[in-house]
Amino acid sequence: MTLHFFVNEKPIELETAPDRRLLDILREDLYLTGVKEGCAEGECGACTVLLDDQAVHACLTLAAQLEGRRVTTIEGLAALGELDILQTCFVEEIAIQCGFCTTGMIMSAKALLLKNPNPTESEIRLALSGNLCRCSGYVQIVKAVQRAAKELEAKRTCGV
Amino acid sequence: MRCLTPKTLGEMADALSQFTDKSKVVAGGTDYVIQARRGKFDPDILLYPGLIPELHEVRLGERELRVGAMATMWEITKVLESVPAFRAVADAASDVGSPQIRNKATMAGNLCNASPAGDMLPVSWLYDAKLELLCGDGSTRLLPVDQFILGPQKNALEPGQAVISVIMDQKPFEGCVSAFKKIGSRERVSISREGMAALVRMGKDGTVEQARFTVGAVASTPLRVPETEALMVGRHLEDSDLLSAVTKIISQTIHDNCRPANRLYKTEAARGLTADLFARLQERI
Repeated sequence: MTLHFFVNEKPIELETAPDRRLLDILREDLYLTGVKEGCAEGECGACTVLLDDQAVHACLTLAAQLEGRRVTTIEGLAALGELDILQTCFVEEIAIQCGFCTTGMIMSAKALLLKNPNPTESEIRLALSGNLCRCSGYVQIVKAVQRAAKELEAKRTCGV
Repeated sequence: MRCLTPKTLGEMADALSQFTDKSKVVAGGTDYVIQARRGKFDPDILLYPGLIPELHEVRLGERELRVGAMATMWEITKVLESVPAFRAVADAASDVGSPQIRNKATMAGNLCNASPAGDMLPVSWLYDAKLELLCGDGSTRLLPVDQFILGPQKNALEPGQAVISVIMDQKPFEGCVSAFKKIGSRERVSISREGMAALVRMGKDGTVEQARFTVGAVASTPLRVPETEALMVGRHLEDSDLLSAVTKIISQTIHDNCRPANRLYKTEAARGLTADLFARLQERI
């Protein structure tokens, strides 16, 4: 099939099999290797990307489901060379150890902040409940998201 | 493999008319992809109906609630969490898998997959839901959910048929409150080891006028428990004698219907789960 969709706001036209996974399209065809393959069955969340601004598993999304849709990957958050506030806060809160879960965590957090700019701690934990981290633990990760939300709010207030 | 992505129901019927017994429909894909990768199927035609706008709607009309086959668990939750009569559907949809799963998975897909642990099964039984099927000649037919789900991973779809909506009558449940509660091996991203759904209409005197009760994930399809429903009528929900009598019947029903290996866990779990479900109902009255 010929697929037309958007990745990080760029229009993409691709000849591909309808049952090819978004994960493979991103990593192997478009060389966007920020998205990770963990469990390959929707349990770990390492492959989380945004599809029309909602967090989804790239490992459970097929080319057949993508026509006309907008995909955002971790690369799209820093497209202009400047890190997204979530990325900065993950670094500053040391919410990273091996880094394998990080891109998925950040994309789930991004989806949350797009929908809900002022989340409570339990809303953050719920939004990240589909993302597993095996090393650094969740406390710093939750803190990083809280800090990003606060900094975004400060920015908005300054802007007014 | 050919991919068909119809944009209207007419085009979808045309696509279905080309189906063989190897062809498949994919909705959210959260079960499909895993099963396909395990080699369960290798379709000649893959039909994705996500480009048909009306299939994404969750519409609460005067006569019925219509959940389009492509409406996601997240969309279902958003529409129904403020509708007391159908709040049980929102409870179930809001706790399926993870946020990533809920952003894609659909109620229709959950019913087609027909897993005994599927959370949309006991709520579909609660409302006597019907599935609207589209056929290759453009005709539609309605099938009650208990005739649609034939057993574990087995549905009544024939080649060239697809579910386009799940329909629940609105009239019989006007003024009711409802709830669903499940228990799994962990708090989140958990597959149900037992699920319960209940619906009650309260009379002016604060007692139950009408009740429905279903239990999921204990047998191959959900169980409706009419003895419980009869017992609840005329009683106050906060009556602790009622709760223990209901719990006793539910535990016995589970004992009689579940696999012996699961009996101890599931009958014990039923005690806490019934109490939690009653508490949820009371909060909502």
